[in-house]
Amino acid sequence: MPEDLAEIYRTTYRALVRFLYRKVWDVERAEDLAQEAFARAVVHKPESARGWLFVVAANMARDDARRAARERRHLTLLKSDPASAPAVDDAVHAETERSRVRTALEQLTPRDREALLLWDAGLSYDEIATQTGLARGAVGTTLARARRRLVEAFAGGERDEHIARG
Amino acid sequence: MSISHVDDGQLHAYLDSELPQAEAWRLEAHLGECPACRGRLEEQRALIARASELLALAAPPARDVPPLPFRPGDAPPPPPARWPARLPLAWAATVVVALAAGWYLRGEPPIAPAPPDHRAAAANAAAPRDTTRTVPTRQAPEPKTLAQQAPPAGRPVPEADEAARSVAAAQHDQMVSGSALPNPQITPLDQAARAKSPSPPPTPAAALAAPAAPLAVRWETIPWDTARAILGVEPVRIPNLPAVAKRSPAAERVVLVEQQLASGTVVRLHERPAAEGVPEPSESGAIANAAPSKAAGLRERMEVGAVAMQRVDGSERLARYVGNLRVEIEGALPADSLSKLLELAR
Repeated sequence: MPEDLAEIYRTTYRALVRFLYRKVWDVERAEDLAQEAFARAVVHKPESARGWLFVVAANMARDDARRAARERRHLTLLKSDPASAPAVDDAVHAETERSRVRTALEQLTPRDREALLLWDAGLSYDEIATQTGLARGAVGTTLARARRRLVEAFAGGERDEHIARG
Repeated sequence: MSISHVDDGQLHAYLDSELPQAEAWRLEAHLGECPACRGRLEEQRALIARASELLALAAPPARDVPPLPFRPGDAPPPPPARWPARLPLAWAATVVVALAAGWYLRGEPPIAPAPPDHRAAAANAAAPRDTTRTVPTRQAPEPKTLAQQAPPAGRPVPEADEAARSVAAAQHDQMVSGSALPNPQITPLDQAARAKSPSPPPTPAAALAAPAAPLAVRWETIPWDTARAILGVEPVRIPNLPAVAKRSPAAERVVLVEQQLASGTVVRLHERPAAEGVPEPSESGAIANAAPSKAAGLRERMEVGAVAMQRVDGSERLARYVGNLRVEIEGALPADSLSKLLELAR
Protein backbone atom coordinates (compact mmCIF):
# COMPACT_ATOMS: atom_id res chain seq x y z
CA MET A 1 0.00 0.00 0.00
CA PRO A 2 2.67 2.55 0.89
CA GLU A 3 4.37 1.83 -2.44
CA ASP A 4 1.19 2.70 -4.24
CA LEU A 5 0.91 5.84 -2.20
CA ALA A 6 4.48 6.76 -2.98
CA GLU A 7 3.65 6.46 -6.65
CA ILE A 8 0.48 8.48 -6.25
CA TYR A 9 2.45 11.06 -4.34
CA ARG A 10 4.92 11.34 -7.18
CA THR A 11 2.25 11.70 -9.84
CA THR A 12 -0.43 13.62 -7.97
CA TYR A 13 1.28 15.86 -5.47
CA ARG A 14 1.63 18.85 -7.78
CA ALA A 15 -1.92 18.51 -9.05
CA LEU A 16 -3.14 18.41 -5.47
CA VAL A 17 -1.17 21.52 -4.57
CA ARG A 18 -2.55 23.29 -7.64
CA PHE A 19 -6.05 22.22 -6.72
CA LEU A 20 -5.60 23.43 -3.15
CA TYR A 21 -3.89 26.63 -4.19
CA ARG A 22 -6.96 27.71 -6.10
CA LYS A 23 -8.93 27.30 -2.94
CA VAL A 24 -6.65 28.81 -0.32
CA TRP A 25 -4.56 31.10 -2.59
CA ASP A 26 -1.44 30.63 -0.55
CA VAL A 27 1.15 28.28 -1.96
CA GLU A 28 2.69 27.37 1.38
CA ARG A 29 -0.68 26.67 2.90
CA ALA A 30 -1.61 24.62 -0.15
CA GLU A 31 1.54 22.57 0.25
CA ASP A 32 0.92 22.06 3.95
CA LEU A 33 -2.58 20.85 3.24
CA ALA A 34 -1.41 18.55 0.45
CA GLN A 35 1.16 17.03 2.78
CA GLU A 36 -1.40 16.57 5.47
CA ALA A 37 -3.78 14.93 3.02
CA PHE A 38 -1.09 12.43 2.09
CA ALA A 39 -0.22 11.86 5.73
CA ARG A 40 -3.85 11.01 6.37
CA ALA A 41 -3.89 8.71 3.38
CA VAL A 42 -1.03 6.81 4.97
CA VAL A 43 -3.10 6.30 8.09
CA HIS A 44 -6.41 5.53 6.42
CA LYS A 45 -5.13 3.62 3.40
CA PRO A 46 -8.18 4.44 1.29
CA GLU A 47 -8.99 2.14 -1.56
CA SER A 48 -9.04 4.69 -4.33
CA ALA A 49 -6.41 6.93 -2.85
CA ARG A 50 -6.35 9.54 -5.59
CA GLY A 51 -10.02 10.42 -5.45
CA TRP A 52 -9.91 10.18 -1.67
CA LEU A 53 -7.04 12.65 -1.49
CA PHE A 54 -9.01 15.26 -3.37
CA VAL A 55 -12.07 14.73 -1.19
CA VAL A 56 -10.05 15.17 1.97
CA ALA A 57 -8.06 18.06 0.52
CA ALA A 58 -11.26 19.84 -0.50
CA ASN A 59 -12.59 19.47 3.03
CA MET A 60 -9.40 20.73 4.57
CA ALA A 61 -9.34 23.69 2.19
CA ARG A 62 -12.91 24.52 3.12
CA ASP A 63 -12.07 24.51 6.82
CA ASP A 64 -8.99 26.54 6.08
CA ALA A 65 -10.95 29.08 4.07
CA ARG A 66 -13.41 29.51 6.90
CA ARG A 67 -10.65 30.19 9.33
CA ALA A 68 -8.95 32.53 6.92
CA ALA A 69 -12.18 34.41 6.42
CA ARG A 70 -12.33 34.93 10.15
CA GLU A 71 -8.83 36.23 10.23
CA ARG A 72 -9.47 38.49 7.26
CA ARG A 73 -6.02 37.57 6.11
CA HIS A 74 -6.81 37.02 2.48
CA LEU A 75 -9.00 40.02 2.15
CA THR A 76 -6.04 42.24 2.88
CA LEU A 77 -4.00 40.37 0.31
CA LEU A 78 -6.69 40.80 -2.31
CA LYS A 79 -7.04 44.49 -1.73
CA SER A 80 -3.39 45.22 -2.18
CA ASP A 81 -3.58 47.70 -5.00
CA PRO A 82 -1.73 46.52 -8.13
CA ALA A 83 -1.34 50.16 -9.18
CA SER A 84 0.90 50.78 -6.18
CA ALA A 85 3.69 48.81 -7.87
CA PRO A 86 5.12 49.39 -11.34
CA ALA A 87 2.92 47.55 -13.84
CA VAL A 88 5.92 46.59 -15.93
CA ASP A 89 7.09 44.25 -13.24
CA ASP A 90 6.42 40.70 -14.46
CA ALA A 91 5.80 39.33 -11.01
CA VAL A 92 3.26 42.01 -10.28
CA HIS A 93 1.62 41.39 -13.61
CA ALA A 94 1.39 37.68 -12.89
CA GLU A 95 -0.06 38.46 -9.47
CA THR A 96 -2.66 40.72 -11.02
CA GLU A 97 -3.66 38.06 -13.50
CA ARG A 98 -3.85 35.52 -10.73
CA SER A 99 -6.15 37.65 -8.65
CA ARG A 100 -8.34 38.29 -11.71
CA VAL A 101 -8.69 34.59 -12.31
CA ARG A 102 -9.38 34.16 -8.66
CA THR A 103 -12.13 36.75 -8.78
CA ALA A 104 -13.57 35.06 -11.85
CA LEU A 105 -13.44 31.62 -10.21
CA GLU A 106 -15.24 32.97 -7.21
CA GLN A 107 -18.18 33.90 -9.39
CA LEU A 108 -18.81 30.28 -10.26
CA THR A 109 -21.19 28.20 -8.21
CA PRO A 110 -19.34 25.99 -5.75
CA ARG A 111 -20.27 22.85 -7.64
CA ASP A 112 -19.20 24.21 -11.04
CA ARG A 113 -15.95 25.46 -9.57
CA GLU A 114 -15.28 22.15 -7.84
CA ALA A 115 -15.84 20.16 -11.02
CA LEU A 116 -13.59 22.47 -13.00
CA LEU A 117 -10.76 22.40 -10.47
CA LEU A 118 -10.96 18.63 -10.15
CA TRP A 119 -10.83 18.23 -13.92
CA ASP A 120 -7.88 20.56 -14.07
CA ALA A 121 -6.19 18.51 -11.35
CA GLY A 122 -6.40 15.49 -13.62
CA LEU A 123 -9.40 13.63 -12.26
CA SER A 124 -11.61 11.70 -14.64
CA TYR A 125 -15.32 12.28 -15.13
CA ASP A 126 -15.98 9.19 -13.03
CA GLU A 127 -13.86 10.49 -10.21
CA ILE A 128 -15.44 13.93 -10.43
CA ALA A 129 -18.90 12.35 -10.35
CA THR A 130 -18.01 10.34 -7.27
CA GLN A 131 -16.59 13.32 -5.51
CA THR A 132 -19.18 15.95 -6.32
CA GLY A 133 -22.25 13.74 -6.28
CA LEU A 134 -23.02 14.68 -9.86
CA ALA A 135 -24.35 12.03 -12.22
CA ARG A 136 -21.66 10.80 -14.55
CA GLY A 137 -23.64 12.14 -17.50
CA ALA A 138 -23.92 15.58 -15.92
CA VAL A 139 -20.20 16.17 -15.55
CA GLY A 140 -19.77 17.31 -19.16
CA THR A 141 -22.64 19.78 -18.85
CA THR A 142 -21.27 21.08 -15.56
CA LEU A 143 -17.80 21.53 -17.01
CA ALA A 144 -19.18 23.24 -20.10
CA ARG A 145 -21.03 25.72 -17.92
CA ALA A 146 -18.10 26.21 -15.55
CA ARG A 147 -15.67 26.91 -18.38
CA ARG A 148 -18.03 29.33 -20.09
CA ARG A 149 -18.65 31.22 -16.87
CA LEU A 150 -15.00 31.38 -16.01
CA VAL A 151 -14.09 32.81 -19.40
CA GLU A 152 -16.99 35.25 -19.30
CA ALA A 153 -16.31 36.35 -15.74
CA PHE A 154 -12.66 36.90 -16.52
CA ALA A 155 -13.51 38.94 -19.61
CA GLY A 156 -16.10 40.86 -17.60
CA GLY A 157 -13.49 41.62 -14.93
CA GLU A 158 -11.11 42.95 -17.55
CA ARG A 159 -13.81 45.16 -19.00
CA ASP A 160 -14.69 46.54 -15.59
CA GLU A 161 -11.08 47.35 -14.90
CA HIS A 162 -10.71 49.24 -18.15
CA ILE A 163 -13.82 51.23 -17.37
CA ALA A 164 -12.57 51.96 -13.87
CA ARG A 165 -9.29 53.24 -15.22
CA GLY A 166 -11.15 55.46 -17.67
CA MET B 1 -30.52 16.76 -41.04
CA SER B 2 -31.01 15.10 -37.75
CA ILE B 3 -33.00 17.10 -35.25
CA SER B 4 -31.20 15.67 -32.24
CA HIS B 5 -28.29 18.07 -32.03
CA VAL B 6 -25.67 17.39 -29.46
CA ASP B 7 -25.61 19.52 -26.33
CA ASP B 8 -22.62 21.34 -24.89
CA GLY B 9 -22.17 18.75 -22.20
CA GLN B 10 -21.73 16.01 -24.79
CA LEU B 11 -19.34 18.17 -26.77
CA HIS B 12 -17.22 18.83 -23.70
CA ALA B 13 -17.24 15.18 -22.71
CA TYR B 14 -16.26 14.32 -26.27
CA LEU B 15 -13.44 16.88 -26.32
CA ASP B 16 -12.30 15.67 -22.90
CA SER B 17 -12.21 12.10 -24.28
CA GLU B 18 -14.71 11.14 -21.62
CA LEU B 19 -17.71 10.32 -23.78
CA PRO B 20 -18.55 6.61 -23.71
CA GLN B 21 -17.60 4.86 -26.95
CA ALA B 22 -21.14 4.30 -28.22
CA GLU B 23 -22.12 7.91 -27.62
CA ALA B 24 -18.93 9.15 -29.21
CA TRP B 25 -19.78 7.21 -32.38
CA ARG B 26 -23.27 8.65 -32.47
CA LEU B 27 -21.90 12.15 -31.93
CA GLU B 28 -19.34 11.77 -34.68
CA ALA B 29 -22.03 10.53 -37.03
CA HIS B 30 -24.10 13.60 -36.27
CA LEU B 31 -21.16 15.97 -36.70
CA GLY B 32 -20.62 14.46 -40.12
CA GLU B 33 -23.99 15.67 -41.29
CA CYS B 34 -24.47 18.85 -39.19
CA PRO B 35 -22.25 21.86 -39.94
CA ALA B 36 -23.88 23.81 -37.11
CA CYS B 37 -22.75 21.30 -34.54
CA ARG B 38 -19.30 21.14 -36.12
CA GLY B 39 -19.10 24.87 -35.60
CA ARG B 40 -20.17 24.50 -32.02
CA LEU B 41 -17.60 21.82 -31.50
CA GLU B 42 -14.87 24.25 -32.53
CA GLU B 43 -16.33 26.96 -30.30
CA GLN B 44 -16.28 24.64 -27.34
CA ARG B 45 -12.78 23.50 -28.15
CA ALA B 46 -11.64 27.12 -28.02
CA LEU B 47 -13.57 27.67 -24.80
CA ILE B 48 -11.89 24.70 -23.16
CA ALA B 49 -8.49 25.96 -24.27
CA ARG B 50 -9.22 29.42 -22.93
CA ALA B 51 -10.45 28.10 -19.60
CA SER B 52 -7.32 25.99 -19.22
CA GLU B 53 -5.22 29.02 -20.04
CA LEU B 54 -6.94 31.07 -17.36
CA LEU B 55 -6.54 28.32 -14.81
CA ALA B 56 -2.87 28.12 -15.68
CA LEU B 57 -2.59 31.81 -14.85
CA ALA B 58 -3.86 30.95 -11.40
CA ALA B 59 -1.38 28.14 -10.88
CA PRO B 60 0.83 28.30 -7.82
CA PRO B 61 4.46 29.21 -8.34
CA ALA B 62 6.44 26.16 -9.36
CA ARG B 63 8.22 24.64 -6.40
CA ASP B 64 10.04 21.42 -5.78
CA VAL B 65 8.08 18.44 -4.64
CA PRO B 66 9.06 17.97 -1.02
CA PRO B 67 10.13 14.54 0.19
CA LEU B 68 7.49 12.00 1.01
CA PRO B 69 5.69 12.72 4.25
CA PHE B 70 5.87 9.00 4.93
CA ARG B 71 8.36 6.17 4.58
CA PRO B 72 8.11 4.17 1.39
CA GLY B 73 8.36 0.42 1.74
CA ASP B 74 6.23 -2.23 3.37
CA ALA B 75 6.83 -1.06 6.92
CA PRO B 76 3.69 0.54 8.30
CA PRO B 77 3.98 4.30 8.62
CA PRO B 78 4.77 5.68 12.05
CA PRO B 79 1.71 6.90 13.88
CA PRO B 80 1.40 10.65 14.17
CA ALA B 81 3.22 11.94 17.22
CA ARG B 82 0.06 13.59 18.36
CA TRP B 83 -3.43 13.80 17.03
CA PRO B 84 -4.03 17.07 15.29
CA ALA B 85 -7.08 18.65 16.81
CA ARG B 86 -8.78 18.94 13.47
CA LEU B 87 -8.32 15.34 12.50
CA PRO B 88 -11.69 13.78 11.69
CA LEU B 89 -10.87 11.18 14.28
CA ALA B 90 -10.51 13.79 16.96
CA TRP B 91 -13.81 12.88 18.50
CA ALA B 92 -12.70 9.29 18.76
CA ALA B 93 -9.79 10.47 20.85
CA THR B 94 -12.19 12.44 22.96
CA VAL B 95 -14.34 9.40 23.50
CA VAL B 96 -11.29 7.45 24.52
CA VAL B 97 -10.37 10.21 26.95
CA ALA B 98 -13.87 10.09 28.36
CA LEU B 99 -13.69 6.33 28.72
CA ALA B 100 -10.29 6.56 30.30
CA ALA B 101 -11.52 9.20 32.71
CA GLY B 102 -14.31 6.91 33.76
CA TRP B 103 -11.86 4.09 34.06
CA TYR B 104 -9.58 5.94 36.42
CA LEU B 105 -12.37 7.45 38.44
CA ARG B 106 -13.39 3.92 39.09
CA GLY B 107 -9.91 3.07 40.23
CA GLU B 108 -8.37 -0.34 40.29
CA PRO B 109 -10.11 -3.51 41.39
CA PRO B 110 -8.77 -5.59 44.26
CA ILE B 111 -5.82 -7.79 43.37
CA ALA B 112 -7.18 -10.89 44.99
CA PRO B 113 -10.75 -11.52 43.94
CA ALA B 114 -13.17 -11.71 46.80
CA PRO B 115 -14.41 -15.18 47.68
CA PRO B 116 -17.36 -16.32 45.61
CA ASP B 117 -20.78 -15.62 46.94
CA HIS B 118 -23.14 -17.54 44.76
CA ARG B 119 -26.31 -16.46 46.44
CA ALA B 120 -25.47 -12.83 46.00
CA ALA B 121 -24.41 -13.49 42.45
CA ALA B 122 -27.70 -15.13 41.69
CA ALA B 123 -29.60 -12.29 43.31
CA ASN B 124 -27.61 -9.85 41.31
CA ALA B 125 -28.29 -11.71 38.11
CA ALA B 126 -31.99 -11.60 38.82
CA ALA B 127 -32.01 -7.89 39.54
CA PRO B 128 -32.16 -5.55 36.57
CA ARG B 129 -28.82 -3.94 35.91
CA ASP B 130 -28.77 -0.36 37.02
CA THR B 131 -27.21 1.60 34.22
CA THR B 132 -26.60 4.59 36.40
CA ARG B 133 -24.12 2.56 38.35
CA THR B 134 -21.66 2.42 35.54
CA VAL B 135 -18.06 3.25 35.23
CA PRO B 136 -17.72 6.74 36.67
CA THR B 137 -19.11 5.83 40.07
CA ARG B 138 -16.98 2.79 40.64
CA GLN B 139 -14.51 3.28 43.40
CA ALA B 140 -11.71 1.17 44.68
CA PRO B 141 -8.68 1.80 46.84
CA GLU B 142 -6.33 3.39 44.38
CA PRO B 143 -3.29 3.73 46.67
CA LYS B 144 -2.96 -0.04 46.75
CA THR B 145 -2.32 -0.02 43.05
CA LEU B 146 0.16 2.74 43.45
CA ALA B 147 1.94 0.87 46.17
CA GLN B 148 2.07 -2.06 43.86
CA GLN B 149 3.39 -0.05 40.93
CA ALA B 150 5.53 2.55 42.59
CA PRO B 151 9.24 2.04 43.19
CA PRO B 152 10.26 0.82 46.66
CA ALA B 153 9.50 3.17 49.51
CA GLY B 154 11.84 6.04 50.14
CA ARG B 155 11.57 7.50 46.67
CA PRO B 156 7.99 8.69 46.39
CA VAL B 157 6.84 9.72 42.95
CA PRO B 158 5.32 13.21 43.16
CA GLU B 159 2.78 12.47 40.48
CA ALA B 160 1.71 9.28 42.19
CA ASP B 161 1.24 11.22 45.41
CA GLU B 162 -0.88 13.75 43.69
CA ALA B 163 -2.83 11.04 41.97
CA ALA B 164 -3.45 9.35 45.27
CA ARG B 165 -4.64 12.62 46.77
CA SER B 166 -7.04 13.32 43.95
CA VAL B 167 -8.41 9.81 44.03
CA ALA B 168 -8.81 10.02 47.77
CA ALA B 169 -10.74 13.25 47.30
CA ALA B 170 -12.93 11.67 44.67
CA GLN B 171 -13.64 8.75 46.91
CA HIS B 172 -14.26 10.84 49.97
CA ASP B 173 -18.04 10.65 50.10
CA GLN B 174 -18.36 7.23 48.61
CA MET B 175 -16.03 5.11 50.66
CA VAL B 176 -17.46 2.87 53.30
CA SER B 177 -14.53 3.47 55.57
CA GLY B 178 -11.95 6.20 55.55
CA SER B 179 -9.22 3.69 55.09
CA ALA B 180 -7.47 3.81 51.78
CA LEU B 181 -5.33 0.83 52.66
CA PRO B 182 -5.40 -2.10 50.31
CA ASN B 183 -7.88 -4.57 51.57
CA PRO B 184 -9.94 -6.67 49.27
CA GLN B 185 -12.57 -7.06 51.95
CA ILE B 186 -13.21 -3.34 52.16
CA THR B 187 -15.11 -2.49 49.07
CA PRO B 188 -16.89 0.69 48.05
CA LEU B 189 -20.59 1.02 48.64
CA ASP B 190 -21.88 0.09 45.28
CA GLN B 191 -19.37 -2.64 44.84
CA ALA B 192 -20.50 -4.13 48.11
CA ALA B 193 -24.08 -3.76 47.04
CA ARG B 194 -23.61 -5.87 43.99
CA ALA B 195 -22.30 -9.37 44.23
CA LYS B 196 -18.68 -10.20 44.47
CA SER B 197 -18.45 -12.59 41.64
CA PRO B 198 -16.28 -15.65 41.47
CA SER B 199 -13.16 -15.20 39.46
CA PRO B 200 -11.36 -17.99 37.65
CA PRO B 201 -8.04 -19.04 39.13
CA PRO B 202 -5.05 -17.14 37.81
CA THR B 203 -3.75 -18.51 34.55
CA PRO B 204 -0.07 -18.62 33.66
CA ALA B 205 1.04 -15.38 32.08
CA ALA B 206 2.06 -17.09 28.88
CA ALA B 207 -1.43 -18.34 28.33
CA LEU B 208 -2.69 -14.84 28.97
CA ALA B 209 -0.77 -13.21 26.20
CA ALA B 210 -3.49 -12.06 23.86
CA PRO B 211 -3.22 -13.30 20.30
CA ALA B 212 -1.33 -11.05 17.94
CA ALA B 213 -4.51 -10.46 15.98
CA PRO B 214 -7.22 -10.60 18.60
CA LEU B 215 -9.92 -9.93 16.07
CA ALA B 216 -9.06 -12.92 13.96
CA VAL B 217 -10.23 -15.23 16.72
CA ARG B 218 -13.79 -16.23 17.36
CA TRP B 219 -15.62 -14.26 20.01
CA GLU B 220 -18.63 -15.73 21.75
CA THR B 221 -21.26 -13.66 23.42
CA ILE B 222 -21.31 -14.17 27.18
CA PRO B 223 -23.70 -12.87 29.83
CA TRP B 224 -22.75 -9.54 31.31
CA ASP B 225 -22.42 -11.11 34.74
CA THR B 226 -19.86 -13.54 33.40
CA ALA B 227 -17.86 -10.67 31.95
CA ARG B 228 -18.01 -8.94 35.29
CA ALA B 229 -16.89 -12.11 37.00
CA ILE B 230 -13.87 -12.43 34.74
CA LEU B 231 -12.75 -8.88 35.37
CA GLY B 232 -13.78 -8.72 39.00
CA VAL B 233 -15.31 -5.33 38.27
CA GLU B 234 -17.91 -3.83 36.00
CA PRO B 235 -16.55 -3.95 32.44
CA VAL B 236 -15.82 -0.58 30.94
CA ARG B 237 -18.44 0.61 28.50
CA ILE B 238 -19.97 3.75 27.10
CA PRO B 239 -23.01 4.39 29.27
CA ASN B 240 -26.53 4.30 27.87
CA LEU B 241 -25.50 2.41 24.81
CA PRO B 242 -26.34 -1.22 24.12
CA ALA B 243 -23.32 -3.34 24.96
CA VAL B 244 -22.56 -6.95 24.20
CA ALA B 245 -19.91 -8.77 26.19
CA LYS B 246 -17.88 -11.41 24.40
CA ARG B 247 -15.13 -13.83 25.17
CA SER B 248 -12.77 -15.82 23.02
CA PRO B 249 -11.59 -19.33 23.80
CA ALA B 250 -8.15 -18.15 22.77
CA ALA B 251 -8.00 -15.54 25.50
CA GLU B 252 -10.37 -16.49 28.26
CA ARG B 253 -9.38 -13.72 30.58
CA VAL B 254 -10.02 -10.98 28.07
CA VAL B 255 -13.48 -9.50 27.89
CA LEU B 256 -14.55 -7.81 24.71
CA VAL B 257 -17.33 -5.27 25.01
CA GLU B 258 -18.86 -4.36 21.68
CA GLN B 259 -20.99 -1.28 21.33
CA GLN B 260 -22.51 -0.15 18.12
CA LEU B 261 -23.19 3.52 17.62
CA ALA B 262 -26.13 4.74 15.59
CA SER B 263 -23.76 5.75 12.83
CA GLY B 264 -22.72 2.14 12.29
CA THR B 265 -19.41 2.69 13.99
CA VAL B 266 -18.43 -0.10 16.32
CA VAL B 267 -16.46 0.55 19.48
CA ARG B 268 -14.69 -2.49 20.88
CA LEU B 269 -13.19 -2.46 24.34
CA HIS B 270 -10.83 -5.26 25.18
CA GLU B 271 -10.30 -5.52 28.87
CA ARG B 272 -8.67 -7.98 31.18
CA PRO B 273 -8.39 -8.02 34.95
CA ALA B 274 -6.45 -4.99 36.06
CA ALA B 275 -3.65 -6.95 37.67
CA GLU B 276 -2.91 -8.66 34.39
CA GLY B 277 -2.10 -5.70 32.25
CA VAL B 278 -2.98 -4.65 28.76
CA PRO B 279 -4.90 -7.15 26.63
CA GLU B 280 -2.09 -7.29 24.15
CA PRO B 281 1.66 -6.95 24.43
CA SER B 282 2.47 -3.33 23.88
CA GLU B 283 5.60 -1.29 24.26
CA SER B 284 3.59 1.16 26.29
CA GLY B 285 2.56 -1.49 28.78
CA ALA B 286 4.84 -0.37 31.55
CA ILE B 287 3.67 3.19 31.29
CA ALA B 288 0.11 2.17 30.80
CA ASN B 289 0.09 0.40 34.13
CA ALA B 290 0.95 3.46 36.12
CA ALA B 291 -2.25 5.12 37.16
CA PRO B 292 -2.23 8.89 36.91
CA SER B 293 -5.72 10.09 37.61
CA LYS B 294 -5.23 13.74 36.82
CA ALA B 295 -6.44 14.98 33.49
CA ALA B 296 -2.93 16.11 32.66
CA GLY B 297 -1.62 12.65 33.34
CA LEU B 298 -4.30 11.25 31.12
CA ARG B 299 -3.43 13.49 28.24
CA GLU B 300 0.16 12.51 28.57
CA ARG B 301 -0.85 8.90 28.55
CA MET B 302 -2.98 9.38 25.49
CA GLU B 303 0.06 10.53 23.62
CA VAL B 304 2.19 7.74 24.90
CA GLY B 305 -0.42 5.10 24.11
CA ALA B 306 0.14 3.18 20.93
CA VAL B 307 -2.05 3.83 17.95
CA ALA B 308 -2.21 1.08 15.43
CA MET B 309 -4.16 0.65 12.27
CA GLN B 310 -4.86 -2.95 11.62
CA ARG B 311 -6.12 -4.57 8.50
CA VAL B 312 -8.39 -7.32 9.66
CA ASP B 313 -11.01 -8.95 7.50
CA GLY B 314 -10.31 -6.30 4.92
CA SER B 315 -11.57 -3.48 7.09
CA GLU B 316 -9.74 -0.73 8.90
CA ARG B 317 -9.76 -0.41 12.60
CA LEU B 318 -8.30 2.08 14.93
CA ALA B 319 -6.86 0.60 18.06
CA ARG B 320 -5.64 2.42 21.09
CA TYR B 321 -4.40 1.37 24.49
CA VAL B 322 -5.62 3.00 27.63
CA GLY B 323 -4.38 1.34 30.77
CA ASN B 324 -5.74 -2.19 30.90
CA LEU B 325 -7.99 -1.32 28.06
CA ARG B 326 -7.55 -1.76 24.36
CA VAL B 327 -9.99 0.42 22.48
CA GLU B 328 -10.85 -0.24 18.88
CA ILE B 329 -13.06 1.93 16.77
CA GLU B 330 -14.29 0.66 13.46
CA GLY B 331 -16.36 2.21 10.74
CA ALA B 332 -17.22 5.63 9.46
CA LEU B 333 -16.65 8.39 11.94
CA PRO B 334 -18.95 11.24 11.01
CA ALA B 335 -18.02 14.48 12.69
CA ASP B 336 -21.54 15.19 13.87
CA SER B 337 -21.53 12.19 16.13
CA LEU B 338 -18.89 13.75 18.33
CA SER B 339 -21.26 15.72 20.46
CA LYS B 340 -23.65 12.81 20.56
CA LEU B 341 -20.92 10.52 21.79
CA LEU B 342 -19.66 12.97 24.30
CA GLU B 343 -23.16 13.24 25.62
CA LEU B 344 -23.34 9.48 25.89
CA ALA B 345 -19.97 9.23 27.52
CA ARG B 346 -20.99 11.83 30.05
